[in-house]
Amino acid sequence: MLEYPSMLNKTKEKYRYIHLIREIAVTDFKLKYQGSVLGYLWSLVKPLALFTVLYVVFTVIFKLGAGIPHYPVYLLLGVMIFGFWGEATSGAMNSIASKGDLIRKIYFPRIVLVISATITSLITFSLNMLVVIFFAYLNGVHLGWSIFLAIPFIIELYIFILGVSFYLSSLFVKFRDIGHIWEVVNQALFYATPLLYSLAAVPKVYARLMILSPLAQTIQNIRAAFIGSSVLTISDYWRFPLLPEILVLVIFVSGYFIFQNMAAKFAEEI
Amino acid sequence: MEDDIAISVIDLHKSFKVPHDKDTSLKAAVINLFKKKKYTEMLAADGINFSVKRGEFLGIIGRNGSGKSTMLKMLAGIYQPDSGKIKINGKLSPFLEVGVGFNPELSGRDNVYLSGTILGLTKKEIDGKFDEIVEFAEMAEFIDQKVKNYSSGMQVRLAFSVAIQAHSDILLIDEVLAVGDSNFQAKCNRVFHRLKKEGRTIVFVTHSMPAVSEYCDRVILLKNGKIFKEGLPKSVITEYEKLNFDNDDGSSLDTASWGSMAASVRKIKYVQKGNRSRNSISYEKPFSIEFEIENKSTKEIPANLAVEIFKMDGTKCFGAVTNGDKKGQFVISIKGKNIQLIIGNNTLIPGEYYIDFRLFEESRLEDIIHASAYASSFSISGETSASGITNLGYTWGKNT
Repeated sequence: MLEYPSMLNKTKEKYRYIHLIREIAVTDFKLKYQGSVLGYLWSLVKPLALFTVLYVVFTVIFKLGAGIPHYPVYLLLGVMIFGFWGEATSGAMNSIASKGDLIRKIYFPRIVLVISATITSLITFSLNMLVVIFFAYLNGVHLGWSIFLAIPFIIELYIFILGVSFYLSSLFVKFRDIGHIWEVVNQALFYATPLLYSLAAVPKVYARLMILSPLAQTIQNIRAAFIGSSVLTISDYWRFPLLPEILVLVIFVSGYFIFQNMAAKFAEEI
Repeated sequence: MEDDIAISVIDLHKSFKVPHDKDTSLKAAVINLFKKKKYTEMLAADGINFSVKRGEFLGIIGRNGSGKSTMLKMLAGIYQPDSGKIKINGKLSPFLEVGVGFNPELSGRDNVYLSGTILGLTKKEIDGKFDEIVEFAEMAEFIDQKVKNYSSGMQVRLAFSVAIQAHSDILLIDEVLAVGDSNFQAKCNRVFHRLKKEGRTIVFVTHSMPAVSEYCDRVILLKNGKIFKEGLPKSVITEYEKLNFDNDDGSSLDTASWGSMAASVRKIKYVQKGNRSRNSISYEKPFSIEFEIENKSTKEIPANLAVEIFKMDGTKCFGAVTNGDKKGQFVISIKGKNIQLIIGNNTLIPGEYYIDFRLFEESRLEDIIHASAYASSFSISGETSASGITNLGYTWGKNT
């Protein structure tokens, strides 16, 4: 057990780790796009390309989006948010295992690495959202103050991502299979979350279950903030709409403790 | 805790279970859930007690696997002890090795900021010290190039310049002096003396006995996770050398060494007529340095040996290489080989010396079989009023 005497030092220490989180996040962001001509633009181009494919398939060929108001914006928001989710969780999952060199040689709270990794994705996501807003404007969405209602849900989503990342990153140190499992889970989530279709098209029994996923719930709420009340949200399905938030909190808090518990051994296990 | 104690370690235990098969997949973990796992238990700390006073320069030495690096990692908080307590009184610098967190894809400038932040500096502080750091590292022209284009010496210089800026009162240092050229080592020297003068507490893990005797106030010698000897550098170093040289199990010397290890220098002996001490050589009398080479491969190896003698401050006194001389090159037979470097004209000024050696294949200096820095040390004892490296054989002439 390590003992450090003064409490004042502890607060100072915490403060200095904020610098560390920022520095690592910014560095990773820089490194990610170094050596590619388009740099950051790739993070924008990739979801946009996926969006274009999906849009063509589901409006021209399958007419899935026909009844959904502002379907392009609806779809783009879904693709962008889901992209953020996928990138952030898989990036964070690797964040401990890939920095083995650092962990074996220097002490700092390991949680810094997970937070940095998710913040790197958050930076990309925030930039992408600016483009989405512009796109929504072109699509004729009436943009009012209501889009700021998306912010608390983005925060909720971020906390959810962080909580899931605590589990993923610490388990990944021990079991590398988690990487493959997570890929499959995400593929399933892509269809189990109302990204391409409207919740209204899903039988109510299933829709009630689907919306309990914090991912689906935040996506629907953020869409509603942009497009308006035509988007079905959790309050359309449950009288007590805070269930996903409770789930987020439980995952975040339990993930935090499990992570901190396992972090003491990371240096030996990597 | 008393105020003048910076670190105290109480009954520390740590063991590593080295599994024969590590479960890195779920399937293996599930299958092995029902099997008894096979472990080899390694004791890295077995009831260690010591304390470090404020402003003290403590050296921790020991052979590979003695638990010294683990000790340092526990002090730093990287490893958790199994039982026992570590009390730290003051701000601890987390830097163990230079260059931690350097990213080859980033420029020197970005790396200064990144590793500075890891060492606990804020961006503002780094801004303020940036020029000083770059100047100390002598890197002004290259600072915006990517680190992957730096030579290893340049990387170390830059990393070290950043590392010494960490403003903590307790420093943990692992094996810094083994890297860099003699010019850089001289720089490290100055910094170490400065840190010492500033009254910082330093715990220093190294294989370099010259460094230990130069800086350390007190030394702890670890063996199999226990404190084997503790005290002033001189007596502990003697004990350490005994451990190394009395090495009956035939393992190689414990110093900073590298190479293909197809063959290795197993022992270095100093031989002087009428002198029975292990490594204290009488001034002005011939002696020889014997290298006992063991062949670990199944073939004969044509090889060469280069030997260099240094003063403790890193000044090179003498160097010779077998292929530089007619009778030099030799073949290491399967049974091994003994090579003697015979010093006929021993004019080294009394003092402490150490040697580096390089055993390499045929004439190609880069095909290193076994090389070692600080391979071994010896002292020249005797009386003279002359100073420097070597006695040039002087007398005074007087004319009016």
